[in-house]
Amino acid sequence: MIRVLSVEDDPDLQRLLALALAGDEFEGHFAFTGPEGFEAAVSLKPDIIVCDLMLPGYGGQELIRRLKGEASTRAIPVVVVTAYYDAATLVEKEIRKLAVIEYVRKPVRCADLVKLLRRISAQ
Amino acid sequence: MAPLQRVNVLMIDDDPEALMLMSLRLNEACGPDLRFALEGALSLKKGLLLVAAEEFDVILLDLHLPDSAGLATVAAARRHSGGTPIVVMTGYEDEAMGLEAIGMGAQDYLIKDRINMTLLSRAIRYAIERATLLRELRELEQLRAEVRERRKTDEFKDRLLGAVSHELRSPLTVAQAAVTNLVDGMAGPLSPVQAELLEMAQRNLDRLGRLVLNALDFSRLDSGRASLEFRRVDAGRVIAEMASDWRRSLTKTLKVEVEVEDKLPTVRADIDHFAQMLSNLLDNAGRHAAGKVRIAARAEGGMVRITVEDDGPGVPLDRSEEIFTPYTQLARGKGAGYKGTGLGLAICREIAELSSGRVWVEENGGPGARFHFELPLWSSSAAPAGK
Repeated sequence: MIRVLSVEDDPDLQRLLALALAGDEFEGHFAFTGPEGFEAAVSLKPDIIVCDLMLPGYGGQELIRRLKGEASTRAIPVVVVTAYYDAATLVEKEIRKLAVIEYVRKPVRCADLVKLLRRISAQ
Repeated sequence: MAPLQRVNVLMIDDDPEALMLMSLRLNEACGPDLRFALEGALSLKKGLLLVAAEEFDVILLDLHLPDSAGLATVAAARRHSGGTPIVVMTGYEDEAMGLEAIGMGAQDYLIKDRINMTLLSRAIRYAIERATLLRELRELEQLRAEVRERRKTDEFKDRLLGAVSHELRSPLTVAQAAVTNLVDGMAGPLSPVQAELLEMAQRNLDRLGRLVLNALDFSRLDSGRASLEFRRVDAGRVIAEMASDWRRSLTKTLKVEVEVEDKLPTVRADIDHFAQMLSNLLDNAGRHAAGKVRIAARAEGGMVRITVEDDGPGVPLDRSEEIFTPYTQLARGKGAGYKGTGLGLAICREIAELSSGRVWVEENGGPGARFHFELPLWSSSAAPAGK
């Protein structure tokens, strides 16, 4: 069972991801703000975190920075989901330094995301 | 000062003799280029009524009137006179009050017993000149305030456009995600008609996204208020991703060739706008192509050149520049799908110029259109010398 924490403020997108993660292979957990995401990560210790960049409270970048600053969450791989092409730039310039391993563009194609999650989990 | 044809003088004074005397003096003061017309009022109230009804060039104001006395008279006259200059007339014994009146906005003061023709004429002329200058200064100040206000409005508009753009894109992205995943078969296999209808929705959501982005962006690019963020961009990767998205959205069967040179160097670009430029060119190619589109990228002369080529009717020789101006559209071939906004290429041109690159169409007169755009290499534009 791969435990996935998704941090995303749009309930529809969370629902979509829940559908994608339904079944025996994944266990989905959901948080809607940056601070909620951080707390959930610390208490759940998921295998993978999927997060948006624009979040209430504080954004994905800050969330990742905090996760990497915390011993218990430092090693958890993070997948960044962002709108349009700002993803590529941000990942390359700033987030890559924070050891984010992948990014996914919106609109998220669930089949691709599931494949990506399997690949990361296998590593 | 330009020659005055006629100076309308209002004198507010409760002494009819003084009015008469002033009339005589003003007549004497008239010259070939100057004529005074005097109207009198025996009380402040009557004077202010006249001021409200007629245009005067100058007001001569006695401070001791039946219905007002002293500096209060100046204050009241100032309140009701608009910008009309006021010359205060005081007695010899209260010259100090004349000075105070100037402090309150009167243009000048005259001492009643010492008024002579020259003094009077000069006082009136100067008063008018100073009032004109003051008015011009005020107009200038008002203009500056308007400019400041305008700038604030522009900033507000930018913030609003940014917010609207984000607010429009967010729900669009959700709808795109839902439809895209249905098309991908996430909820099980689709019947051919289901697939067709969902693809229709998907295509039009993509189109809506592009239209919104173009319309919002054009207004910002055109006014020079868009801020581009230049970074190091892997053009090959953007092309591969954009081309694959675009192929999925095509409504007709096209042969698509993508030729990206091996080890294509990175470029200096604003990635959002680079993607938008490419998306606009691909959108055009897709609409006009008969059966084939070719996308190529290679390094050339310190730039990366990206080419989008279709086998449609092409661009007439005399219109190869015109198509880059806003709201220009070429006549479409028969049944060639939807119209664009007429902004796509204009935006490409704006983006290319802001990026120190260029975009153009090869002048071949058709058939077949070959668009190129070039972006500067990252290494030649930003990195320190030698690296």
